[in-house]
Amino acid sequence: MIKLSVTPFSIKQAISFNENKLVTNLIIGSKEFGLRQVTLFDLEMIKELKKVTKKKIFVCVNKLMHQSDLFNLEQYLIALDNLDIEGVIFADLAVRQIVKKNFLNLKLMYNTETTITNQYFTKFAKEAQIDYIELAKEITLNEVMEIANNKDCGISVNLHGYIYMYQSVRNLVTNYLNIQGLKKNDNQKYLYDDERDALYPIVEDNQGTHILASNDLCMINKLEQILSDKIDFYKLDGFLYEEKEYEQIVELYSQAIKDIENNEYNAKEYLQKIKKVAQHKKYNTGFYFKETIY
Amino acid sequence: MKKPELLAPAGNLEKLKLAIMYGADAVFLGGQEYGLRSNQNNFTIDEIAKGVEFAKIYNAKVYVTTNIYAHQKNFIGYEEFVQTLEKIGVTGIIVSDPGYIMITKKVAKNLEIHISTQQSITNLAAVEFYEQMGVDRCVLARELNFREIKEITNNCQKEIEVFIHGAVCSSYSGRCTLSNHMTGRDSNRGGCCQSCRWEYQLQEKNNGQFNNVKLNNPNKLFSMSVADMQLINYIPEIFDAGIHSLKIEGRMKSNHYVATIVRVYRKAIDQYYNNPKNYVLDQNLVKELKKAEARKTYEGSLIGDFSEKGQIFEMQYNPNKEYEYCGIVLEYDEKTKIATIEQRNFFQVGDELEFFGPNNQQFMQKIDIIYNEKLLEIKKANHPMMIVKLKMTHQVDSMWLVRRKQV
Repeated sequence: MIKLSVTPFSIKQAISFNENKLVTNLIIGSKEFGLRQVTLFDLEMIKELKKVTKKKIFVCVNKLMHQSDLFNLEQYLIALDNLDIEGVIFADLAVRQIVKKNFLNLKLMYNTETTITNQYFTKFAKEAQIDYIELAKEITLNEVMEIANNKDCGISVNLHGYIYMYQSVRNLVTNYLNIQGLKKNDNQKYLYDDERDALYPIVEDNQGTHILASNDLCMINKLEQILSDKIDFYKLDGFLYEEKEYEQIVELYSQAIKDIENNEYNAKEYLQKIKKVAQHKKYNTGFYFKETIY
Repeated sequence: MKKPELLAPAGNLEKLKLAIMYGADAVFLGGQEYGLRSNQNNFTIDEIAKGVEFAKIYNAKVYVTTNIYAHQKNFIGYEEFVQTLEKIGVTGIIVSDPGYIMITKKVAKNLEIHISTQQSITNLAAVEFYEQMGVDRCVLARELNFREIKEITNNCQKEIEVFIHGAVCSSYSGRCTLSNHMTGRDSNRGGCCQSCRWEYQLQEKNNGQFNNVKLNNPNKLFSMSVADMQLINYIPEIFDAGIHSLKIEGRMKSNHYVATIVRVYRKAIDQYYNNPKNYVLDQNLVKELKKAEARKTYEGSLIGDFSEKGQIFEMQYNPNKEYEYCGIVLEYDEKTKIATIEQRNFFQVGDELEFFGPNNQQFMQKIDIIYNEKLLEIKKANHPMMIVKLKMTHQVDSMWLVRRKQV
């Protein structure tokens, strides 16, 4: 059975997913340690969320941890464990280390965005008692399937959403505006690459700077190729969408998956529909059908 | 007080020899596959074996980088590769992919395992994870400051390595795929095209409209470009941080760069180690470093400063290099005082050249006559790799280098 991981913008939106049987996981950004998340929830909000949903809650604590984070991180993970949520999504092995050292029940999902690229990672994860890994978006669909068919731990792959390219500890926008003698405002910033006529979203937060690809990943017209019972979770990420747009995207994917089960799937139609949802977005299929060279 | 290892890049066999002769305790190099510099500056197995033989004479160590993040097909031949490395006497591998680590531990148990900076290890808990996995050394992320490094070295069991000089990623290493998305070249498999050093126009979205941010200085476009690391002013802090190995970046850099930088840090480390109480940085060393400098440098992250001071916003395609590398001495005849030199950049009669060798030797000489291979007089050494002969005022030796001040 296909299981979707979604990123609710609010408790209200999370409730709206209650009746959607395909949605099994809610991914929530941690206010303290989450990066590139639609909304950052504090512990109180997570507790509230827990009351209104039976879905599995994964809290995203995907910051790269510095020494000064470790103490707070340990306290935080213990508190999360007490909330009896399903698990955490992390990018730094410090999280795994602390969860195991404290014998916490939190399930572990490792997602570094860029480095999880082969089936040995699943063996490594198993040995390290990591329950799930999220595959990098830089590998092909053939590679994804090869990994899925030989996996030793659970795997999650992306169906839709932003594509991460870059994270720096530096405040690159602020630094740049400083040398220009300018003040920062709240408008969403982009980097324009004139050689490629591409616009990359750039986001600065209190952890540094994030740069995203000019196209979002969209697999709504390729679902027959990517859906497999060997893959544990499929993620639909709402970062840099509007709450309304995201609701429609989840709805479209859910319908499309049901259509496939009923042999009624019309890929072209779904692609056209999804393009209407967030017209400012450009989509492609990432590297699923494109090999990188080196 | 522990004396840290000085670890230098070796882009080829000649650079390996230079790095070791000019003072490196260990070198790192890449094989034909599995390492992060594809196509260039890599060693064949035969060359690695020769490098190991040479290193042994000086009691130096050789580490091999197999630090890509492997895709499925990048495992072909890996077992045999690390087994061969073990057999020919390589000390260890620098690695980031867990699959490579697991295979190496299984089939080449005598190879040390060093976790590459590509893993961006930023804290003690992550170091502990790798220690439990049985690795020998962790190379820390280049985002850490001295206080953080010291906290880690004070509390961990295994060795810690830190970059002290050279180019750095402007992102957390291994967590950047700009190159993949912009050019289709995989940055985590050696294809990085350094998109972080390109220029971009900063735009913003306001009421649904995309507009360029109005700049006060339109000549300075946006860039993520970060200045090179340079820590010559921080030798006492480096010792105090308890670091096991100090790494110089630059497998793509020239002979001149490698020899100059290694020699400077060798001297500074030895001077501090021999007399820490009265240590003062020899300003000549700072001048020496400048002679090989190709980009803006900054101490940046190690002192916890990530401001614009550590960034480069003007594209410096032709940096104001103070010195040009002119050639390398192949041999010296003591009787005739004739040095045979392989040219690397143009020089001519009338030039004042600086000659320098390992240790402290260094002198200037004005060039009155240049001979070609057949000992016929010529005016210019104008062909790359041409062999010329010079009559020397001071003794030199093979592997000395020649440079000229830019005017």
